[in-house]
Amino acid sequence: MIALAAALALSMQAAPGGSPPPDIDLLPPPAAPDPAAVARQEQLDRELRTRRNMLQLHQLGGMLTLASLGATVIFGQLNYNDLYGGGGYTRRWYDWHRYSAFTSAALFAGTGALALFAPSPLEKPMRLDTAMLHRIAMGVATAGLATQIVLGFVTAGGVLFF
Amino acid sequence: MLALVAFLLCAPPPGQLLDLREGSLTYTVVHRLHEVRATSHQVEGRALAQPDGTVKVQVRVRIATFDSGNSNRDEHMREATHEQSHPYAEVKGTISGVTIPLQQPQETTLHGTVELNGEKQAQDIPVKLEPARGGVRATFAFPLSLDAFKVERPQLLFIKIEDRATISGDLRFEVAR
Repeated sequence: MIALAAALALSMQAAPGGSPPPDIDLLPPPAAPDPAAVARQEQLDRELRTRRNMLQLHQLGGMLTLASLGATVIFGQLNYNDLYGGGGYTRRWYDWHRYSAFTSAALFAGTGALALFAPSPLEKPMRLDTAMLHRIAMGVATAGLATQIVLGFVTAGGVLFF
Repeated sequence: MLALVAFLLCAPPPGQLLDLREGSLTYTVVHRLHEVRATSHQVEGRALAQPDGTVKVQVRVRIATFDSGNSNRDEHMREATHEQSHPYAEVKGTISGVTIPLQQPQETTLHGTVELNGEKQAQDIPVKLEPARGGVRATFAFPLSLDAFKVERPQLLFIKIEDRATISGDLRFEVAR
């Protein structure tokens, strides 16, 4: 019996230089989650999946917004040249500029909404990091775009729209 | 007799216990556009140095404590590793031929198991040991495959990060009081 006990005790020790023992538990195990925590976990998983899908679309929306804003700038310059730069006042770029501007504004708003309304179930400290800089920069861009929309209508008022 | 068996089974194994006092763990992942490093300073660990020179080691870190400098990215990493279900990343293993107190720097290998995302993989980790105030300082770095741990690799601009991630650490163990 003593031999058995000794053998059992020795078997708990790792063989030196051998493969890792099946398990080493030197630290106390983390507390097991209770049923309420498990239910909350499932809810979190669902929200995180939704968030991921929305933020993937947010990235796609950002690229499309960039492309449409570039097109709007180009069509705007062509329109300006046509109307005021000796282009003959043909208004051939007017609708191109108008609809690309509307598209840009819609894409910008939709892209922003995807980020604003994405669930954020994990607690995050509020701090100045690259994500916060992105939010601040996009706040400034939103103000700029809103100003552009107003200026667009004012500039075109009476001349182009009416 | 049964009491003796129970006593032998429950008795603490002989050896010297070392507690992790301070340190950091860092993961590095590579995306085509940039490289990301995230570090946690909230590492837990313990080592048991046995008289035969074998050291059992267990080190773990809460996934939620890694800071990459971008809270959205950290949140995404927690999602990709299913942190809600598997809140810790952990390394357990053994090192042979180490005598505590350490007299001089020593390079050795930890034969262990890495657990991440609820998946376990055997891993040999080269470790550099140095005598440190009241114990041992261990530094190490090793690569791992995110796919092997079934981590759905995050994407930026629809480009996934590379499969290979590097884990590095700098840990100081002190003899437990």
